[in-house]
Amino acid sequence: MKKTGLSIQILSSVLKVVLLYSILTLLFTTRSFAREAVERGILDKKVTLTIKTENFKAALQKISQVTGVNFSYTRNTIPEKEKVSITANDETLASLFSSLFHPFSIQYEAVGNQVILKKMELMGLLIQQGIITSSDNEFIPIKGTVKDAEGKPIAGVSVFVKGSGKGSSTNAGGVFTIDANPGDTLDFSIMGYQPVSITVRNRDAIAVQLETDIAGLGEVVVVGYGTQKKANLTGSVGVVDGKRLQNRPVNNVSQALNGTVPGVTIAYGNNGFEPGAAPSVQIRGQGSPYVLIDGTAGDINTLDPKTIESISVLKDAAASAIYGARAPYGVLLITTKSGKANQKPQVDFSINGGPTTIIRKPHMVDSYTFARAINEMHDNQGVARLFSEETIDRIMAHINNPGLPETVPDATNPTKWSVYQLSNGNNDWVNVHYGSGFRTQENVSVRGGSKDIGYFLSAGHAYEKGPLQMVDDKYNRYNMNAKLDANVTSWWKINSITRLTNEVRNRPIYNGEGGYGMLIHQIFRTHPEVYLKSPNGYYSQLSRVPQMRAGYEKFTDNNLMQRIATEINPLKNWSINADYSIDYTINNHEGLNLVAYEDQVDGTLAPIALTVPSYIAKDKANNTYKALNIFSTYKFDIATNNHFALMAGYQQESNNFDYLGGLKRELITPEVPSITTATGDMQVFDDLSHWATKGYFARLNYTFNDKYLFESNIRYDGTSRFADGKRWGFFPSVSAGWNVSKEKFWQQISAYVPYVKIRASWGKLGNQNVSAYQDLALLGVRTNLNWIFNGRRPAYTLAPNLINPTLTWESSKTTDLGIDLGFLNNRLEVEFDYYERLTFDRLGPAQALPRVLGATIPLENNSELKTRGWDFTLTWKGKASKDFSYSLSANIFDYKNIVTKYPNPTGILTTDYAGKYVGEIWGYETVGLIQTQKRADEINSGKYQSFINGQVWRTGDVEYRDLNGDGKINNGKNTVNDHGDLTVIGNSTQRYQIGLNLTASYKNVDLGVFIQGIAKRDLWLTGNIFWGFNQWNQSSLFPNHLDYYRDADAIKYSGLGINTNAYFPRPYSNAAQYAKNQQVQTYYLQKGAYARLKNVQIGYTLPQQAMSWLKLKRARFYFSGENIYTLTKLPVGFDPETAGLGEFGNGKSMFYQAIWAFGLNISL
Amino acid sequence: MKKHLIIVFSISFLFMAVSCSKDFLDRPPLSQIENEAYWKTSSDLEKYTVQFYNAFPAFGTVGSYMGLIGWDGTRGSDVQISASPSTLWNGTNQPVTSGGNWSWENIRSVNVFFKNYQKCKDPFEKYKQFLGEAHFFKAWFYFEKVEAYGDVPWFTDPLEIGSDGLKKPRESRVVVVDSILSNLDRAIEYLKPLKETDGGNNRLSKEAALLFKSRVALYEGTWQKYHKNTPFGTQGADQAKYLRAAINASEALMSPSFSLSLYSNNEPANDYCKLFSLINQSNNKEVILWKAYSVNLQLSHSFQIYVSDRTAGISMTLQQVYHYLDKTGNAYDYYNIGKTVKGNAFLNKIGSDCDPRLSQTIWTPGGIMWDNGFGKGVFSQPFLDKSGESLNNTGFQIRKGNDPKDPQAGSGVSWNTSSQTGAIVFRYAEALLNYAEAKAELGEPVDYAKSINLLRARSGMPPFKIQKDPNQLRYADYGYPISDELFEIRRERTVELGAEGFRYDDIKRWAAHNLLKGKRPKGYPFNAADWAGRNINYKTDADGFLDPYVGQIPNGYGFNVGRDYLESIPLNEITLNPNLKQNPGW
Repeated sequence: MKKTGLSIQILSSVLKVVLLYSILTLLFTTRSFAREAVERGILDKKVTLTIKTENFKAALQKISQVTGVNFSYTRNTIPEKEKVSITANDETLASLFSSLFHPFSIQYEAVGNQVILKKMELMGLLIQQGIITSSDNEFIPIKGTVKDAEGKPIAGVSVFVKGSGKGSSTNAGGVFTIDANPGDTLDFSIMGYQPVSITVRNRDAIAVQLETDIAGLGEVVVVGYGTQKKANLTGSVGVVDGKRLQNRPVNNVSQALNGTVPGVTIAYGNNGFEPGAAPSVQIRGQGSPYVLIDGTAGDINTLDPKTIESISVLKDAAASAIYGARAPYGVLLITTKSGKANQKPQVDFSINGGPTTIIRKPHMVDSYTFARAINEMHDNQGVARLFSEETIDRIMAHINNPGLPETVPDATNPTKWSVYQLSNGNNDWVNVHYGSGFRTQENVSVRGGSKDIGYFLSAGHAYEKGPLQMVDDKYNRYNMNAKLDANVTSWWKINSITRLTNEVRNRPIYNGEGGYGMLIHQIFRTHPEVYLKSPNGYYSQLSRVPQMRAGYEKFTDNNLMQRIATEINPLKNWSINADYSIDYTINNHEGLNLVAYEDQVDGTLAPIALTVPSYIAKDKANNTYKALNIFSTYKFDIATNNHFALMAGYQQESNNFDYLGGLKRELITPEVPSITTATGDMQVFDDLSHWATKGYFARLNYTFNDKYLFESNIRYDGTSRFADGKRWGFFPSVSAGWNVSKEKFWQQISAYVPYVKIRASWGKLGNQNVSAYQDLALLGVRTNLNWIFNGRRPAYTLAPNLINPTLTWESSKTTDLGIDLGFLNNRLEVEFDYYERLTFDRLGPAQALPRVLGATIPLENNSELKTRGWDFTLTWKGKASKDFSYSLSANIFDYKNIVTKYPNPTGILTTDYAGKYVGEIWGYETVGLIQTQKRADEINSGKYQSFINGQVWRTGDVEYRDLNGDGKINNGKNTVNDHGDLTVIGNSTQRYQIGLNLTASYKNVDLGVFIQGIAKRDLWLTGNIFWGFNQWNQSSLFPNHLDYYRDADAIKYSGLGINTNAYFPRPYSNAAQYAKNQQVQTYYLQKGAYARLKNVQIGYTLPQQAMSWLKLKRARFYFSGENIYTLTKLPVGFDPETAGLGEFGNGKSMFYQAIWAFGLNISL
Repeated sequence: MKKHLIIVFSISFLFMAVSCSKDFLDRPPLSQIENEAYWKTSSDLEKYTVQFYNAFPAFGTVGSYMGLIGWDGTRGSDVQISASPSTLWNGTNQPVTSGGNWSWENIRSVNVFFKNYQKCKDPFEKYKQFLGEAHFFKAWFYFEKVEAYGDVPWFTDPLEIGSDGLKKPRESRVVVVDSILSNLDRAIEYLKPLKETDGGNNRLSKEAALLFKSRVALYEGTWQKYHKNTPFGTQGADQAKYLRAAINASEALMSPSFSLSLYSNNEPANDYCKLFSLINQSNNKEVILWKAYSVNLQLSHSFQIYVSDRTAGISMTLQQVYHYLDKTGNAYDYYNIGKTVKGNAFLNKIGSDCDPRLSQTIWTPGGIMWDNGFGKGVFSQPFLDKSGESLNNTGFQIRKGNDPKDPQAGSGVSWNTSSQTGAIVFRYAEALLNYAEAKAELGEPVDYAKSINLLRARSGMPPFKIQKDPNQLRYADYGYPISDELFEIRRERTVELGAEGFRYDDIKRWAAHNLLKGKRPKGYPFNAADWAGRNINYKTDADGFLDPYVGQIPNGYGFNVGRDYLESIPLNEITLNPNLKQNPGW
């Protein structure tokens, strides 16, 4: 053992010397350096000593006592009164001397045991010393030190004279000398710090301070239950600096996260871009990640983006394995800001806000065009026209004179206004309902610290008003955070985090018909001739305005999280941590449904039947989440360069959910909407559930000389969701890294590629996020049978479900290979990861059984899915001068999911099958629209397409391609082996996702540009927003929809004139007829690729003079534009990020919006 | 020292936290019931069987918004149509890959009851009604299967994963029907008579089981008779046995031990229509089972809108109208009258000349569509010029069930759902018609006085008589000869049960595809003068009657005789269970 340690030590010493030598030969070096190196001897002696704020002379005496060297110097060579502190832990004297003497421009030279100290400023002296010769006349070394923000010297910083190729680097004391002249610009760079350029003014020593670079390698990255230097990471971890999430006028973190880290995607819900839209986040294309906020599970979208310090995205199994079955799909570790001890108080105030406008807002055609087109559709069908000539005459009159009423009394019932196709308005309902919205965000925070206490307090507010203009549609969020760190004793720390969130979402309830999705659906299917206001001046029922305004829906979500953590350090390098959190969520929902009214011809208001009776519904859900973490870390070294870290711990979580909801009908007065003040029928429901997990985990880290890195995690997890005996799972991972650039053979190359690290990882994870009680036969209990007995609708029960007692963990194995590279003095950094994930024992539908079973077949652990993908990041840090700096980072990633095992022996296409690429779209190939009657006759007589529709095919209908040449268009047996003329025509997976971030600053002006996009994606869109024509009452025509096939001349009351070279097929009013042309097919498959200018930000920071006059630390104002340009080929009405969404069909979600916001950041 | 104390204390506390909760991961359900804990009381059994009441046809559960009133139109028939031809009668259906009517959830659920009900601790008397209901529903769900598929596998117990039953072959339909009838016999035995049920005629009763038995038995008896020697008949089936069972069940209902009678206020001009428009049927002696609605209980529908100023796109046809005799009980020459009297005048004329049930089934000009908060709506002419849910494309627009006083009649907007008109599931009149038909089919003398004549009398029509209508092949060419008596009995059934959803089944059991094949449904004699200034896009046939489907099926319905009487077994099911054999022709 001892021998090994010793030999490693020797090896490392040798390597050190070789390394130093290589650098010296590779780089342009001064001879003084060379001389120091050559004349070593005593200087290589290692010492361990501590000197605390002693004066210089006393320090020298102490060094003499410890090391036995004698110092000789002339008077004034040393600064006698300066106080110095030195800590040397097994350092060479050379290193010690450099850090001690160079800051004071003292040259040292060792002769035997004697160390001679000299002032360095004299040319003559140098020449006399033989350090330079007189032919080196122009060579005057410039000296300086490079330190970090905390004043510690940084070794190994590259220093270059701009434009000359001359270079040097700092020694262990952070000191450098370089051949440069006043007027030259020196570039300083090193991994982990932001590069700096400094112009040499005179020959004084230069003091350079480097700021740590958050995305750089010196950065400490938050990982599961600890931190790790980025350079020492072996897993795949992406880091987002909190600064990137701020100053963007978006209201939650996941929206801002989009495009920042390769592998991370977000997806909006069915309501699209509604106020406060909280998209879900996905890492590497599957499932949802485990989100930990300061170590406690939480909801990413309840956070104030301003309070975030950084987000670590743990992508591969090695990085997330410490969370075992809690993190099958990666982890988001969110660290919020904190104060530090001994930090001066800083107050930050920020605000931004601006109007939002709809991107690519569609418009409806005028009602005359609409009526003729719809009549033509009915002509095609061979049924009566929808619009009578009398109505069309009224429509034309109204268009010519908008002062005329939009409707007339109904001929069959003169007390009512004519509705639907009998009215004669001319309304673009998109314009009627959608205007502009508004967003603001404000935040104020204070951070600082006294001797043993650091604090951070923040209060924020976000507000958004949606673009619906006839009704209140808004979102408010209030965040308050308090974070306290205290050192109770030198070995005991405590930390408290309190986070309160109050979210209020107000939206129209759209009484009785359905929620937000239905409202949007209704707007899009309302015909333009429907009247907005009656001649009496009241909004019509079909305008939907009365119902929208009759009541409201209000969601109030309160979240209170308190976390107490403690850390004890019984010994140096040993810490014991424990934390306990309670996260308490109260979700309140209130739905007030009032009676809406519509006027009759005589001006009296009649209740709209569907809104009668009024009722109030209230729901409350309490969720209590408790988590306990205990873990302990011990770090130790074996011999010099063998660093070990051991961590082991325990986690337990429990969750209780308690829902109570009720409603009561017939409110006495709309002014007092409460259950007490309603008199009608009452209903009450509840729902209770709970779950718990336990996990034991451990980690071993080993690094050798920062060159060879190794890590292993294990986790043993249990969950209440599975039956006893199936509930525990074991999840291991291993990973390794190799810093190739630290190998001596790399020295030749390191000038060009100074940093190379290769990583490899493997791990297994589980998924406990399944519904509970799948192993118990439970009877369904329902209230309000749809049958009345004795004046009551009784409660009733349903047959118990079938169960699968063998249900267990869904698991995944991930292999990740990564390489990190640095070029051009590490200005250019490249990261590449390739991964393969096999998800096995996936919970899926069991193998199909005959339906006579009569019950849903319980899920089984029976399928496998393979994901292959890669992530690529490129970061370029532009050379900085005092006035100008810039940076560029780009990421691109891609993955494919392939079903590798699935219980589908017949290969039927209605479900997954082995070999299926997830997202693949099966469809027919389109020949085109049938152009000649001859061709139509052939198709009809040969019954070529009668599988799709047995009725007559006409010109303008779609002709499909007979791919298998059997003369018939059909789907065969609809199986993989016999799919007839179906073929895979596309894939809806988002491919080659790109994020591009550019920043630049010149003097006080800064610019940021952020572009995000997808290079490849196919979308099959359905419904009236795509096709325009649908059923007569589900049609909405935008100008692009008018390019439909027509072979009849336009007449006054029907048709728009011949258009046989059309995009859309001949429209029909009957489902069976139009569906035949809307089969999934190549011609109408849409390209979902896009590039979006997500954010452009131009900022101006007030100059220093103004600051001191205003007594501010910093003030910046900016314009920030969000989503201001989109490149897409989708038809109008569809946004590439929300096209497939909508509860009632594609495109029927809230429009995507752009915002131009003005913002202000002030620091006191 | 203090430091060590704190550390030791902390560590032992943490160990306690880790090790204390042994049952931490046991989290039983909090708001759900395990099967083992159920089935203990008669109330448990009742709560379980009432779930099946949802299966009865009613407004919103079958067909269009019109429920049973429009069901023949949505399913397709000769007498009632929707805007497009039925794909079934047109022979353009494709074999289904999966789904269709091949769903077995209800049958499994009923079998779960039979497997568990004996755990009940209460005395038999207390739960026999619910056992009777379970038997009834088992029969109900199986009859649906027989109608759709003919032969089907019979299951006594709920199937489990791995049950042999999953691979069971189909059972002959007569075996299945016999089992249905025996379940109904148990239901008749256990169910309480109407006067004793808890819930009146909203609840299943002995009477309901008897009526349903007569329906099933008549169906199977006539099916086997008319499909004999076709791929759809069963070799050696005893049709007479079923007809006899139908007679027995009907006669039992007609006996005085049940106090059933036809609804009448002695207003022949209104009684028939009113019968279907009542909100409360609980005192109606004709109604054996109905579904009640209540806006206050949030269970209501939109039927009244669709029999007033909308149509749900469903129309009656000339073929239906032809069936109505004139007021004197003689055949009426609609064909020749229609050549001269057209449009509104035609509707007016037949309304006053014919069986009062005609003008109570379809609208004739002057009819009051609504008389409520929306004012008074008068039917002036059929909605030929409308479309979609307001379209009438024959001129014969459905009135049956209209209640002008209903607050939603004439409301104009389709999604108002606050009509409370009760939905009749079983009514006594069917028993009288089943009786007469079964008797006639067996060749036995029919007692018209206690059956059909009661129906005639309610509507002010003279008693039943046998006659020969020279026009009969124009509207009721069954494709095979039947006696004049049976023709008249079928006429009575078509008239009395018109627009109640019976026609679709009747055509099938009568093997009467000839009513449709090669033919198109027709409308009234069109009169362009009624539509001056309005563009009506309809064609008429050579005789001047509206021909709404001429563009869509120029050659008439293309029913595939050797195939379309039964549905295709889903192809997937045959793949999964090779013992299942496909139906003929598919």
